[in-house]
Parts: sequence; C-alpha cells; structure tokens
Amino acid sequence: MKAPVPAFPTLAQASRLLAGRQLSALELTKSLLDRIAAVDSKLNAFLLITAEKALNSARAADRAIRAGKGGALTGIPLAYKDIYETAGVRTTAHSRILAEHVPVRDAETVRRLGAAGAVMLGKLATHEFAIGGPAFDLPWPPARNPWDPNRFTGGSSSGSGAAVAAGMALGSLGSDTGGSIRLPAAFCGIAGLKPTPGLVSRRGVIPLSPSLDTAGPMAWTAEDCAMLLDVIAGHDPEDPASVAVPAISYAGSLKQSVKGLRVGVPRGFFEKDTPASPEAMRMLGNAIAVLKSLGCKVDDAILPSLHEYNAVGRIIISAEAYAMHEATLKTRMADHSRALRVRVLPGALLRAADYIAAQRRRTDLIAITQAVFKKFDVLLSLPTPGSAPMLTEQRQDDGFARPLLTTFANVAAVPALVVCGGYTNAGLPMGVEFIGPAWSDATLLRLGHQFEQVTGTRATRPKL
Amino acid sequence: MERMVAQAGLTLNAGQMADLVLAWRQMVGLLARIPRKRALLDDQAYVFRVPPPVAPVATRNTAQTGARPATRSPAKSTRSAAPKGRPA
Repeated sequence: MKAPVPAFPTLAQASRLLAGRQLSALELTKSLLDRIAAVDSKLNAFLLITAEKALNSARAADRAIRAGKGGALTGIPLAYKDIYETAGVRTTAHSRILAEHVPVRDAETVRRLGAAGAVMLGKLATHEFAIGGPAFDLPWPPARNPWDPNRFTGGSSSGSGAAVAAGMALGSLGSDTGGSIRLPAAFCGIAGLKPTPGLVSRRGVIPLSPSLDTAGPMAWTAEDCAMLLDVIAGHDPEDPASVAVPAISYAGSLKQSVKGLRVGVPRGFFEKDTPASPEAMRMLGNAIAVLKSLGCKVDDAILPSLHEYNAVGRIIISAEAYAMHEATLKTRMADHSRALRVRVLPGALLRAADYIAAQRRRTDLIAITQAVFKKFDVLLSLPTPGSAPMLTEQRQDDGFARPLLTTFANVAAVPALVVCGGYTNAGLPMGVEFIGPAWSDATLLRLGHQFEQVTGTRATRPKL
Repeated sequence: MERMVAQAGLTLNAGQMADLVLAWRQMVGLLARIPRKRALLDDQAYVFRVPPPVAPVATRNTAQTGARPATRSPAKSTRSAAPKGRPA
C-alpha cells in the first residue's frame, strides 16, 4: 500500500517518495509552483520564478528515476538566494546595479545540484548584495516572515528562510558572512548550516566580504541540510579558500550516537553581551535538558565577549564590502538602498591599518576559540536574542552597537548550525545554535537531527 | 567628516552624510575594541587558513630521491558531485 504524501514533505521524505515512485518529480514540482502562486504574494520570497525551466528539469528527473539513474536529490525542487549565479537566468543580488545581469555560468554549488538532478524553482530575495536589511527603496520588496508577514525574516538570506518555511521550496542555498544563513533560519523556524570555511565552494556566489563569506544549505530539517551538503561539499580549485578534505556522507552519519559529547554553553553571549528574552532563555533551558537526555555532558563555557568578535567582524565586512562596491557607490550612489549605504559606506573611511589590526585580532580570537574547543566538542548558543521583530522595528544601524550573536562563528572560522528550538507563546519560532570546531559539520548535523527528533518542533508549519 | 568623505572621493547629499555620521560613530566604537599595541614580530601572517583535518603525512626525503614532495590529487581526495544514494 502506498504511504500518503504529506502536505509539506521534507526534502528527505520527498526523496524517499520519488525513489519509491509514489510521487513524480513533475507532480512535486507542480505542487510547489502552485504553492508559490498561492502564497508568495504575501511573502515576496521569490524575485524570479523559473517555472518552465523547473517543469523541464522535473520531467528529466522523472526520466532519470525511471531509468534507475536517480540520486538522493533527483527531482527535488530547490530555490537559490539571488547572489548565486545561474547560467542564463537573471541574478540581481536584489540590487538595481545588477537588475539586468544574466550570468553565463552556474555557481559551482548550483552546478553540482543541477548535476545531481535537483530542480530549480527560481531565485530568492536577499538583502541588497547580502548586506543591509529589509529595504523598501529597491525595485523588489523585502521578504516577509511566513509565521507573521508583518515580521522580519532575518537576513540576508531572507527569501531562502521564507520560501523553505512556507513550503514553497524543499531547500535552498544561502550565504553567511555574519549570520545570514542562521538568522533567517532562526526567525523562520528552519535549519541552516554555516559550514566550515573551505568546505563549500563560493565560486559564482557574489561576494560580500571574502574573508568571512561562506555558502551553505537551508532546509526544513537538519537531515535535509545534510543531504544538500552531501552534494555541495567538496574541493573546488576555482575557490581559493576551498580545502580538499576527505569526502564523508553527512546524511549517512546522522544516526550515530551523540552520547558523551561535551557541550559548552557560552552564557556570557546571551546573558550579558546581547541579552536574550525570557522566552528564549526558557527554550535554551529546554534545549539543555534535551541534550542531557541524549547523553551529552553540558557545562558552562567561557569565551571572550561577543563585542570582541563583533568589532572584528564588522570592521572586516565594512572594509571589504566597501572595496567591493566602491565603483558603484561613487557613480550610482542613489541606486543602492539606504540599508546598504549605512553599513558599507563607513568602510570608505577606514584606514588600511584599521583593517589589518582587525585581521590580526581575528587570528587571536581564532586561537582562543580553538583552545575552548579542546574542552568542548560543541557549543550550544542562541542565534538571536528572541523571536522575529516587526519589519518596521529594523534599525538601519543594527549590528554596530548591539553585537549579533552569530558573527562569533564567522570570525572564529568555525561551522555553526541553527535548528528550530521551539516556539513563543505567540507561535513564533526561535532557534538554537550548535557551534563546533573546524570540520565538525557532521557532528553538528547529527546533533541537530537528533535534537529535532526529540523536540518534535518539525511538526508545525506556518499557517498562511 | 566632510574632509574624510572628500578624501575618499565620495559625493554625498545631506541625508547620506547624516547616515554616514551616525554609522561612523558606531564604527569608531568598534575600532576602539581592536588592540593596537603589538610586538613588531608578532603575528606576521594575519591571514587565517583552515588546515585540512587529516593526520600529518610523512614527507618523502626529497634530498635522496630528487623528487618533489608528494601531494594528494584533489580529484582523488574529494567527493564527486554525484549523490550517494537515497536516505534509508
């Protein structure tokens, strides 16, 4: 007897249904295109819908599956943050500057997913050039949170968070320079992995701050992220930061025990530096109890102040982003959003000595963080101090005065995974963050997966 | 501030300048957190590169063999783009 097809299958569930021929890639793709047509006008997650291309890819996927040539992602509908270059498909970075830009080549990650049979549904909203905030002075509106469209999605991978949470795509690619995968994952109630730098190619991903940029998967569950990582991870000689590491199966290691993992809780981050809400602190307490029930050993971890990491991250990002956009800021200032200008223009005034001092301080902080990981296998933290704020509450200078909780992992050059940790009384999701030493991506995904199994947070979808 | 902006080659209107003044004040606060007093020879290479997670490989004695040190081929050490199969 055929198992019923869930209304909102996870990527892993859809993969199994496709493999069992209980669902065709064409049916699945059509259902998601219908979903996009039904709800995206409320969310603005998509900048471009590539329906015809998606349907053709789905038909090809069905042929591959029928021929016994399908893989785990064959026929899986995905959508990509619009800073990933896509051959023949407009890639704007959500900016007037690139409004007519049509790349000739896919980003390496997009290429790998295409080769694996994934179906591209379209391109997703971002903050302009992956920096700034929700902007209303650009040709396309900002994405809105599926749990409450008046609320912020988090960013900059804003459309990715909204599309996955709303069931419009089974997975996405985001980018993370200071938290841009993990913040929307937290506010939209999904999973998002900022991988170890060098694990996933950034070739063809429009850069923001090359010292800190990472590309990574976003999906409903940690298992879905692991399946995406299985395809996109791996050495790319065209990304100078790419590292040749032995291949492992991230999805294949999800069920290994987490018993005995030493988990550190950097309480200073969210009790002192960026104080969390009472609801977030209660959720964190529950998360600690869950980890203990899984056999983890939990203890407090002492790290430098989040302000130290944030200062380094902000200076490097401002300097590098200004260098990246100097030409258009001088010639087409008014074509950029105010949100981008506020965050990038200070980079014009930084001195070379300031930038190098920040890079040097980064090496100190990396060494200090690495030492902490001799005592702990994983850190448990909060990616945000609470649930999603209202869109109108977004301050243009956020991230300067109040440190982001997420930038720590970018500056420390370590991987970090956000999964849904629970919901507020108002029904808004909140995330928890697992951070590990370099190359512990599989451990983080395993812990995130088993955490999701115990907490059961994946049973709830936003009502739209 | 106007001199700094002019030196940077930027032309800003009043609103853009006001935004920059606000943001720059915040940036000055961040800069104050970065330590500057370092020994001259401290930390000559400030660019961090993540080391690969493999155990050190014994290097061939190039003086005896005259050969270059062995290097791993990325093609052999990395994953292929092909998926590994469906989940259980």
